[in-house]
Amino acid sequence: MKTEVIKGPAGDPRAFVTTCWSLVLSAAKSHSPEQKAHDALAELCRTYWRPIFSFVCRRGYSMEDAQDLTQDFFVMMLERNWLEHADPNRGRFRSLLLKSLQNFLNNAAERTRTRKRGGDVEFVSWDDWMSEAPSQLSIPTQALDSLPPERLFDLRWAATVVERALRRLREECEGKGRLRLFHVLSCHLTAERDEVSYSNLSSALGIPETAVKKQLHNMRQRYRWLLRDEVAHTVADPGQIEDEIRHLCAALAVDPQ
Amino acid sequence: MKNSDGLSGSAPGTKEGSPKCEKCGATTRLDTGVCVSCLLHEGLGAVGEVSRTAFESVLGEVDVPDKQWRLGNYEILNEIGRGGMGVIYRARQQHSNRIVAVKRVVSYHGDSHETLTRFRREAEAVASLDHPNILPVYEVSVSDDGLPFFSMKFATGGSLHDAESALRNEPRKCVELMAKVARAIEYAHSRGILHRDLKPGNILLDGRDEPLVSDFGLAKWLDANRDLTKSLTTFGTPGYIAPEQAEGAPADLTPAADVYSLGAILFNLLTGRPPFLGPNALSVIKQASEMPAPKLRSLTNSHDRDLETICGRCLERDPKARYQSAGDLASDLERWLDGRPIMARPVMAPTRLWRWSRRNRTLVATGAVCLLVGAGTIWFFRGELAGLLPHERPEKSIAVLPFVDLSPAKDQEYFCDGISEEILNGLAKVDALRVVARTSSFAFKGKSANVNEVGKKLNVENVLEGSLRRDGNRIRISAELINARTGFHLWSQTYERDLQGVFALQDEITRAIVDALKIKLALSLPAHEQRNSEAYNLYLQGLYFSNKSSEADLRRALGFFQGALEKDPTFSRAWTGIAKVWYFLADVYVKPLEAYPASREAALKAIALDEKDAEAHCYLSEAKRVLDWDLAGANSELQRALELNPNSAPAHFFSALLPLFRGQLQEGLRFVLEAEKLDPVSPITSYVATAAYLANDRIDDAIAEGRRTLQLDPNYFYLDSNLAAAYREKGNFADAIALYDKAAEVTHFPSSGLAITYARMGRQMEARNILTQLLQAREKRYVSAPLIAAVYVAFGEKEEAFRWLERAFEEHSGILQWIAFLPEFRPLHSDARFPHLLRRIGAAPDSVLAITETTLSEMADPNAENHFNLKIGVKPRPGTPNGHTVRINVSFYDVAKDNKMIPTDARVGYNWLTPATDWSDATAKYLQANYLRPKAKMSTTEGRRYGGFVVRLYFDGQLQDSRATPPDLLTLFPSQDQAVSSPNAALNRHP
Repeated sequence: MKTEVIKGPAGDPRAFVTTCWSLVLSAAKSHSPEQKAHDALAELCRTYWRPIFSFVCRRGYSMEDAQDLTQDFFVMMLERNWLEHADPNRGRFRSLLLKSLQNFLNNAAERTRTRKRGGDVEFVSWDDWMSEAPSQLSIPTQALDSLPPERLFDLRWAATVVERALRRLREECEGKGRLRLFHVLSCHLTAERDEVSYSNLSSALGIPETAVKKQLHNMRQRYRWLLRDEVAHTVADPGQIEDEIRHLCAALAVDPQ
Repeated sequence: MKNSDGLSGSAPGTKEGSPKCEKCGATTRLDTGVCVSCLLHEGLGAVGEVSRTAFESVLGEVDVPDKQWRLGNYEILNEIGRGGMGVIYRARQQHSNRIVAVKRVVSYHGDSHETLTRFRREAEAVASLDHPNILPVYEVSVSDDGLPFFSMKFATGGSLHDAESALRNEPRKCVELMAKVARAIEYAHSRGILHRDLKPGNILLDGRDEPLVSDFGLAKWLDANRDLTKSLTTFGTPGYIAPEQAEGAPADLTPAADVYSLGAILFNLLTGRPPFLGPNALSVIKQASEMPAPKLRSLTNSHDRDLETICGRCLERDPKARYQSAGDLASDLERWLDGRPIMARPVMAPTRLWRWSRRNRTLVATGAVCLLVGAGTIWFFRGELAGLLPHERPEKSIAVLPFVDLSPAKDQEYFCDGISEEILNGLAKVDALRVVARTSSFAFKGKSANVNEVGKKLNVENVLEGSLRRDGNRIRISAELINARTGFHLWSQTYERDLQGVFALQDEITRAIVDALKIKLALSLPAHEQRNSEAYNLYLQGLYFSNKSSEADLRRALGFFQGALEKDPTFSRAWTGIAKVWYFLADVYVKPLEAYPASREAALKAIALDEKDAEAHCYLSEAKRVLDWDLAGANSELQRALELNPNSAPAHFFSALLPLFRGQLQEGLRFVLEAEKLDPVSPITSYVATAAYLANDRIDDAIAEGRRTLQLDPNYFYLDSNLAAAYREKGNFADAIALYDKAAEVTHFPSSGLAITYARMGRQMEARNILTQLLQAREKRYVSAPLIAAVYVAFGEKEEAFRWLERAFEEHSGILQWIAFLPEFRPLHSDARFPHLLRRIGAAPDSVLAITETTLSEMADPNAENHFNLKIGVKPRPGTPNGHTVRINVSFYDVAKDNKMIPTDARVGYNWLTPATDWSDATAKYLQANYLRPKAKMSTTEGRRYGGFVVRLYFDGQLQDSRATPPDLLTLFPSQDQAVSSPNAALNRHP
């Protein structure tokens, strides 16, 4: 996904004009399958393939089957007019995607057994992914074992959103020659004011404490904006951003047990 | 982002031992240790003016450009990698101007000072290593913000990770590199330092492509967080770390863990992938600890067997089975380079194993969608192998693999299977030898598994494998006995015989194995009788089809067995075969009252011809269980079977179910788990174990076991999934339904379990629909009545449920006794009809109180027409506590004029012979009941005479025992409510 696809005055989260998901939705409503909408959907799928793949795996498929099913799912989404069946009037990209995925798996169970592997288009390059090796997440084993697939899907989704926002933040810093600033400050993005030792940071960076405070504030603000932007791409209306974030937070919350 | 810098550790980003974020309590973290939930939560905070331009302009306000960044004496030039533990930079050392790599440990608030100090101490120890193939660490220091960093040689050639593709087709170079790496590791081990996280990214290359091992011992820093997470960023890298590293305490690690990693790296260099792949760290680790590593040449053909052996030896799951030191590995690699023979002994199966065609495993769906299925209807389904049971391997143990068909026409599969099974059966009779059951050892049919793998999966020391070539009447058999652990061939022989000589040959092979294993026989082995070879051929074909699961195959088997008996009416094993087939047909395809009597008849014939046929006793046992509801009788048959054949899988399996039927749930579970040892990869045993866990309310264990069943055979859908039932019990309806749906695709049969699930969810319509389908299906073919009863239980319709259970009772359903322990039937437990039904089907729990005696004696009483005295003995089980209600109900019956049994109108009375005040005393208590019919003076009693009695004994309202003379009074007057009986015989409430 391009870094800056948002038009309109940046900084106002309500100013999103065309996000990926709204583009896809409007194309579906007007029954005019545009290339742009198709590309936007493809981009979304590419971005959120990991939650999909995790979900499929968690449903008990072997890795090979899960790979095939994930690819098949993408192909189904992109080739057929997925949204006609998915009722785009309701729901966000995430929930529609999950619902479609569940339906798809319910119907696909037997197909996978007979399907010949290897002949189809690869939407995600597994080799790249494999060499990328570490998943960027640490999830307690217990949670991995006990979470229902839907929860795991949301959890992976949340992580994808966060990782992408952080990556964009880092790239912006790096572009300005402030990678070091990013490294030093980014781990304090979520820290409360009184948890940050500004004096340590000040001596590490060689700038006054007041400057540290300002930079951290700046970085936090930008991060928030980027995060909301990432989420915006998956909802139809900017008004849903906070709801979506709350939903994902809930998915991450620890079970009371 | 590629992790090629080899940074392995995680930042000690959270408090040790506390997986939860201190702020929000969530447990999911990025690899940098920051809590995902907190990062997300930020998105809910206020957002000001933060366009990119505005943001960048504020960035420009401070003077912290990357190029003037210093850490200690080092000027940071650029980032070259990052990992869980920190970031690594290219840097220039002041004064000397040399270019170095600097690794900065990233940390977050909450780190303890102590952790950092320990880290620093360890890093200093590593810095003392001095070896040409170990990356030198120059300095360990602390940066201005208090976090440790260290500088080391900057390796200009990148890492092995980057060089992989270039090395792919140069096995010699790979081996040269790895030999050097192994020597370096040997050196570090000699200094007492384990690496713990060897992987391609940690092996760097200098300008001359010499390997430099980096990051020694750093993975240890993750150990503190071991409980926190098992993602790869925390404790080494899945795919390369040894299985014991994922499981055991870090302190217990030995050099063998590094040897494993070295093997995995070599494997990766030669094949382009690590031995195990998976969607996440956990799945990779699980595979590594549960499955043998794939063979090198199964992924690429171009390498020779010695390299495969070397990799395989490194990748053994058991650390003791690996090279004992990195030096040993280095030596073998050097030998390979010099063209000398390697030291590692191949544990390979003969090459022909590779040629085994992958048999089409598609099993015919039986359509028997049973929620509960009689033991026998299922134990023979074989399936995929997987999983391992961590039992100690008994020394005298063997698995007989099915012989490979080398006949020109490849049409002798039945003959090969049959001969192998006969040899297996022969060996099974040896008391001192544990023989893996057929279902488990035949699971390896057509699989390219080596003997070492087989040995581990089946937990046996020895494996017998062989091949058979049949050309008309000539047979050539080659057999080999191999020690699975060492790969050593204990015995091998090739025989050429006429068909007629095959009986003697089986005995010969059996004896040779017994000798080779140095087993002392208590009894001489029974010899195969010389048989008509035509009959034997038919028998083997029958045997072959009897091990399949479709009705058509089973009926074909019947035809072959009958054919064999026509040729040779004294062929007892053919009778056993018929007993087996009827047994398998029962409940699933054929009404039990048709199938079990046929099975019993055949079993009795087999036993009449050969009393020592253990298998025939098993089927007789099942017939007794189902036709006579006689669990004790069934048990004695099974005991006899086990005497004759201590390794009989069906006998063990059936025996395990008996305690469950009696409500002894824990014991049943124990027995099933024992049976699993004997038949470790049998899906049915795992299936029953799932049910046994469920019965014991160990839902999570049931889910784990149920998943294992599916691992063993992903198509295990003949029956309603016990795993789905476990999900349902857990309240995870979505997963339950998904499984049932998956099953329905295979069986095309409505699922009782799915209906129950819908009913529990309140989705009545869907549940009713399925019930209707089940009822309709029953009009066309046999559907076990308890399946239908279970759905009614879920609806809360007890009357209908009992009506169907009564029907199951009349039909002698082979699965009726399962109601004693399946959770689906628990809602019936409080109903008085339930214990009574259990008692009638022999499945009552062992009583707290038992009736020990009912003695009826006629009294000499001139005034009476009938005067009887009934002495009833009641005995509590030792240790029965006081404070319970004991009730004894005695009913007398008369025979009326029309010869019908009716409740008596005679005078009855009761009294205790011994006042029973103490039930904790396990001695028998006695009650006396009297029946007195005075001489008839009035016509009302005319034609009535004494008919019989029923005694029922209750403990806290639960029926404990009952006796009746004649016995059918129990069924005639099934519950005490219906019997117009005398008042309570005794109401004994104890303090």
